[in-house]
Amino acid sequence: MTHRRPHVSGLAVYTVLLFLFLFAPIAFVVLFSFNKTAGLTFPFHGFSLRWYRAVFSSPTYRESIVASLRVALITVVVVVVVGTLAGIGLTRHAFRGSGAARGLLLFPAALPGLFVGIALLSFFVQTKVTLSLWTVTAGHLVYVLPYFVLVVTSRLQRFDYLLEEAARDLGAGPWTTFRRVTLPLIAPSLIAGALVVFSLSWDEVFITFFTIGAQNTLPLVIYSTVKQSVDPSVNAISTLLLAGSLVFIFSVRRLVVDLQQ
Amino acid sequence: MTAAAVAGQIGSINVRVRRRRRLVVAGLVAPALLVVCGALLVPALNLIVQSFLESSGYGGVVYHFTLSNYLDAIRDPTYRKVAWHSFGLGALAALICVVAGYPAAYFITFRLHHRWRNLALFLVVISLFTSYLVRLYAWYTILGGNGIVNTALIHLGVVKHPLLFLLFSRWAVLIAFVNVFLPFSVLMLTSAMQNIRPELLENARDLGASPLRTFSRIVLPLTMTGAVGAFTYTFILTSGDYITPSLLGGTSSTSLANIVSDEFVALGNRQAGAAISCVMLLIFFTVYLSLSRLERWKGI
Amino acid sequence: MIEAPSYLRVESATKLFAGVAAVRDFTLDIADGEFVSLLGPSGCGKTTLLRMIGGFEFPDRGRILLEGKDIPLMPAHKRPVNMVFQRVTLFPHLNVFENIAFGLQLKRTSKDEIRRRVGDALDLVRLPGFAERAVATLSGGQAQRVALARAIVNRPKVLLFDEPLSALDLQIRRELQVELKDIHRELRSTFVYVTHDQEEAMTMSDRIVVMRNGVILQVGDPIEVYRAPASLFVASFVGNPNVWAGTVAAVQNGSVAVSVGDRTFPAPTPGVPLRVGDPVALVLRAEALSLSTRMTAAPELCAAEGTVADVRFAGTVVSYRVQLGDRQLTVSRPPQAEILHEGAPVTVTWSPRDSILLPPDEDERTP
Repeated sequence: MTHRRPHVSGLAVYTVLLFLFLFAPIAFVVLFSFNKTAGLTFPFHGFSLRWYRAVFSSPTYRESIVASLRVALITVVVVVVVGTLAGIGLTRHAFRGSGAARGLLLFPAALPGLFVGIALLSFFVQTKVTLSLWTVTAGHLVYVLPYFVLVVTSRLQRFDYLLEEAARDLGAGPWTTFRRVTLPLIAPSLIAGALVVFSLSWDEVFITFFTIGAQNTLPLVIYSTVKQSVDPSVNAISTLLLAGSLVFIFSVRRLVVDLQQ
Repeated sequence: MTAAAVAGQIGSINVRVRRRRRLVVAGLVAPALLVVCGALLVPALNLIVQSFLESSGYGGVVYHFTLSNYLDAIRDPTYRKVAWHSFGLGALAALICVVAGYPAAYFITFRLHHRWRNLALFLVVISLFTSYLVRLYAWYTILGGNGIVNTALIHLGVVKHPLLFLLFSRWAVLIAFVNVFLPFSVLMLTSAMQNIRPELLENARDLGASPLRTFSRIVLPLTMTGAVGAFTYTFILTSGDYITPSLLGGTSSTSLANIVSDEFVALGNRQAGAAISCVMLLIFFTVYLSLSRLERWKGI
Repeated sequence: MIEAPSYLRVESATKLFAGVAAVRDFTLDIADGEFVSLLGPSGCGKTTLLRMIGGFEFPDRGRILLEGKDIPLMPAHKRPVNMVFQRVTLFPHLNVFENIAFGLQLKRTSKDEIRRRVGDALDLVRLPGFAERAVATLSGGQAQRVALARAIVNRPKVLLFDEPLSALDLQIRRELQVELKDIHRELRSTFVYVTHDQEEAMTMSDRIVVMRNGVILQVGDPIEVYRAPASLFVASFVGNPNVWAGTVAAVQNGSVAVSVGDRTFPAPTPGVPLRVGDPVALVLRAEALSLSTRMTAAPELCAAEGTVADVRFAGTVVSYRVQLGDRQLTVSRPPQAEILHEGAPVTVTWSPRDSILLPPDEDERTP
């Protein structure tokens, strides 16, 4: 197979078009967030930051961002702790139930949020629990856990256990070994996983729709705004979210690159 | 201590160490399992129970065993029509994602140099990280009355008035589904293809196989697992999606997921909603099992 | 018989994995300051035994005693035993100094003491000034030296080695073998060394323990194992042997006549009593044979005529394959000797004292 191709291959063109298809919608949203007029889209009359100002001065958006932040932070903390422990338990010694446990922990990733949402809602109604940010967090926990467990187990499977044996040989107990040898070495993966979890929770809407109480999270505010009215500030908040995602993904990438050394 | 006693002690240390290890492992995995059980399994069980109970007006329940929820769900012709459309649309979206994903995955895996490949995959991951709602909402700017497509068509003189059927239709939902799930498909297919050593393909070329033959005889069977995985994942998540139809589908395109969601929120009939979702889950499970069989297919 | 308790004693140790014995009824006494090698093919149990001494595994039966105390009963962090592993197990997130200091820091040693001892350890492994280096910048040989320093710095009573040089290049391996022996002399601690490379074991050890299928075939110093192998397997595993199958023709005082094909050769009496007609193996080491173009040989030597079939230069010796009738012999000669060519008629001679007579192997031999 030669690498000198006189023209660009059809496959290359196709792939570029595919990428355009993936990114075009987002590009337009960003474009229109700077639109001077009040239409959602065309005509485009000039650049303006008015929609960004609208977002920052709106109490609805501000409160929902705070609410989303609270839910995401608690979700991250719980999932990192619980997920790391589970990942270690699953990879350390094979035990009879490990395949089943692993399956149980991973399968919610392929379950549509609808089912988790209605199951939780029904459960809360039955047990007379008031819907609040806590009920939202419960849904996020179960949705996000499989992704983190996957990250942790995949890192631990590449981990050289001889390093732990060497530490034990030098006199370190199990907890000291974990703290001084294992943890520092898997930390980049854990942080990358935490960022992924944060991003998933931040964006979650399928389950949250059912478990939300009096306070709204940001995705729900966006959802109801889009459904009900023609409010171009949605373009602005969307662009801000996009910017945030980019920051996240670049941080994750830095950590993954560190990993590969 | 006699030698025998010490030897016995050492033997029991072995047993004790093994037992302790098992307890430690159980302890490590327990909290995560607790979360899944508490936040998913128990509510799921409750949901199944609810599906066999009767509803009494908005939000109420009568503790009386009945199959009426299931019978209504299965017999109602509206539900059946909607179900066909939902699953059909989901299957179509999944098929398009897999078929459209293959050429791109092939190009990325076998035709790009190492660095470009990482960049391409990174771009795909970026598109995954962007907010789902934003990606949905973006189609308003493209397909809407004032959107890109219509504005372009009017400027070009193809039509005089904006085409209003583009948005709020089944096709808008389909395009949005493909836009959201194509990245997953590309990633899964790429990952499956990366397990094929390039020498295999060159070997086939040497032996005289045309590109099409190489694809159908080698690439396809070896990536079947990835393709089936991508299809199943996309099918299940799109068929269970109620937000995209709600935002982009308009009144003509309700999905089964919308019906469930409405039963719960608008109508307060949790029991009926529960029954319908149990039926949906059964269908998903069946599809998943049959598709797993397909993974062992050896190619055309 | 009451004897002084040995420094490190393995007593009837047995270890089972899924019902299969990796180590079976293993007994060995090791003296303080000895360099003992466990030598054998893969799967013979040598690594399992080493790990039991190190406390990584517990014997299912038997005991392991260090200065009279049972090792398995000691809590892990109190065992005065340290191991150098086969792969590089330096902690990649710590530099050389921190790696070596790891064990000392756990014992809350003072900073000054740590600095002093790490410096001494680095000097001992011939890596002075490497303290601030990152692990990723070390070569394979340097990394294993740091691993050794990391083990030594804790002043363990017994140092264990699990084939630490097997992943290194030949030249580096040879260098390190010599250095390890020097370090052993300086430290005067007990070394237990696992290897499958007989040359390595012969170079460094005070005593060699040849193992197979979880049991000891022979224990002795290198010369003893070389000159008087206890079984055919040991003889084949150590050195470059030629093995001829034959039968006992006659038994006299001090020597045995062995008939091989149509010839009869005298050989020294082996440790096992033999009778006429018993099948035996005649072991002739390539290094003990001489090659000559003269067709007559001194009367006290054994001789056999043949032609050169193959000549190979094996780096440090010239290796000749000689065809004698329907048998073959491999003979080693120093490179300085005259090179003989294929087809040349030669006489192979050896002194009867240099030949070894052994009963043929059953599949399992116990001492």
